Amino acid sequence: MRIIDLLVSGLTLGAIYALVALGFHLVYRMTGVLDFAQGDKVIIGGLLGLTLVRQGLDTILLVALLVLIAGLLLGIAYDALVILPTQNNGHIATIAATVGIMLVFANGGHLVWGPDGKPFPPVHRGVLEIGEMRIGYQDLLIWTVVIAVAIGLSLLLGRSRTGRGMVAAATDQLAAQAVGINVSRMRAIAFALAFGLAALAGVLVAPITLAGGTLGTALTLKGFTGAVLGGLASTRGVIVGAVLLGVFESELAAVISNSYVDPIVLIALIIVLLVMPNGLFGLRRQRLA
Amino acid sequence: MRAAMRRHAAIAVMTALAVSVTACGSSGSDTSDGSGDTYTIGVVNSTTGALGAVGQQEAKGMQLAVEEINAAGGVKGRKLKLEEVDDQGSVNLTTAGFKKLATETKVPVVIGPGISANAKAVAPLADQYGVTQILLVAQPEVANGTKHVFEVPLPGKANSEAMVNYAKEQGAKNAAIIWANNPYGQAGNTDISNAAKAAGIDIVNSEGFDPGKFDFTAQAGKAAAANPGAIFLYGAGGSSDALVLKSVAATGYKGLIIGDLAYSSDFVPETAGGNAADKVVSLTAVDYGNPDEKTKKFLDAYKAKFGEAPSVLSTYAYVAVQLTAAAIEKAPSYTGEELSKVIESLNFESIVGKLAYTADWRGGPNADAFKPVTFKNGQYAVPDKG
Repeated sequence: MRIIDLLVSGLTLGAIYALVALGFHLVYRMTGVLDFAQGDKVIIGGLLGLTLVRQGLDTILLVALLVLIAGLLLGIAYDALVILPTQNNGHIATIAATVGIMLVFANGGHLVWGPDGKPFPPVHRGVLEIGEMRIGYQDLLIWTVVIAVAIGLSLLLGRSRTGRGMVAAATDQLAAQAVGINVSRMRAIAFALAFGLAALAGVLVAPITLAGGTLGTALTLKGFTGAVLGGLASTRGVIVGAVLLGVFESELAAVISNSYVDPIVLIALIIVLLVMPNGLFGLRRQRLA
Repeated sequence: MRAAMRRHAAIAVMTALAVSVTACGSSGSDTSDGSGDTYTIGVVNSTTGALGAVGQQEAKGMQLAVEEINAAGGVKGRKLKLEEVDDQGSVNLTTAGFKKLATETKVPVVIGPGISANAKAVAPLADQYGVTQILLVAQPEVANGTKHVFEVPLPGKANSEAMVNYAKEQGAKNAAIIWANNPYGQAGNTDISNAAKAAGIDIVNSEGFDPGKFDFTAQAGKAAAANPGAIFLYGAGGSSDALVLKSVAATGYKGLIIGDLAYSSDFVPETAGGNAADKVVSLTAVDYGNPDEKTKKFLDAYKAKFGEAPSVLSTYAYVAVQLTAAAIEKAPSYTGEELSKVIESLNFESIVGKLAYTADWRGGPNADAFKPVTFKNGQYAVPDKG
């Protein structure tokens, strides 16, 4: 098995985890909530895309755009129906609600679209060959989107007035309200962006993972692991953590039995967190501070 | 006074109703629902949950069989009706569902479940409650030794033997195995390894895969790097099987790719890609490539109803209903005791082979009943000879 092939598949695996991890990061930074429905939102996005494709829409970029818009709207509804009613009972209640809705999404998806994964067309078929290295165009697209989203998110959270308002609202609601920040609006924007990102990710990854199926929980687990590994509060951290996780998993699977990969990865995560409790980038941020 | 009389009259009427309803429910009626014009068959199935795909395929097969039988006049002039319980893949819900069917709905026969762990948990209950049970699992050891339990699927061990026999016929001297890391796939890995050893084929690599994942580059790469004469794929019955095949084909491996019956599912070409699907030969219970008249009729009817080819699992469920109907037809009464006796003596000729049960053997047909099937341009085909 060539290391380079495993590296390519590991980078794609990591990029897929990163799309989920970025959703965790976005919601956590902007609202302080851990949203465990993030992986299943990706699955819902893929299934919405599949519905459009089955209706005859064959321009996948247009499908992606429509699903992104649908995701943004669903995010607003998600905030109103799942987050808003539970937020006054503390973060634990809100997190429990996201776990509940994760199950609703998973089983609802099975009932509407069937339980098995369905093939989904890529934006562009074929592979790019550089010497002996072969990279699918879909892989390249996923990598590009991850980088673009990371840059966009850094700018939003660090430079824009809205982003700073969101972070302020997540840090101290009362203080944020005192200086005129509309906390409810900030939270709705955060969940809309997170659902939109997840839905878009669903369309992008479905040609590789298949649309639908039972992957939602696994994506949530791996996305969360990647985010925690890198540092949940750092945009750069979640990307690096998720990609490291994907590459590590992929390379490890080539040398040991597949059954041992997940336990070893999770044990490694525990060791990293023992040494660096805030994740790889969280610690660095603390030291700098 | 008048009000008190009315109250007493009402109580008397309600008591009479309750007694009559109870009497209907517990009578030795020929039907389980007391209506007298149907035979109710219990079904324990997993139509939701992680293995919902399996259960939904089985549900479709049963639905078609019931519709066909009822359209042809039913059994002994009565319609068949399915009373379904969704166990969501949970062992606890399987046993609870079976008990409900046996004691509340009072069905004398239950079809399913189709998941090994659930079947193992529930099979002892069939003898306990005197209910005939037709399992949709491929492990005869679960049903052997019981009084009332039978299986339709061809045994998994026989599937493995058929795969190894095919590899040997094609001249393979060594092989690799990629198997689903669940009880079904683990049993497949063991059975293939044993059959290969007996056939003189060396196993040079054996790798499990998690059906809950989607990236199988490492497993495929390790199998192909061992450069075996054949790669055996033993799937989980879901779409991840096709992704494994896709990964194997992507390595550029040129030898034989031999899949278990899961690789004859019609979604394989679309999910794995045409090139990959054309390379796999599945040893399967349904002769998709060269169907006889009876099989073709079933394949056409299924496609007309559901818009897709039936999976092997759908076919097993379809056959289970046909077997039950044949038993009801011959049984002197609609009881578990009589149905079990009839099924044991039926020697039922089905589209997946002859179901010849004895007091000791309660599994499906043997390795000879498997047929090699591949794909050409997305359609089922008979593999090229040699």
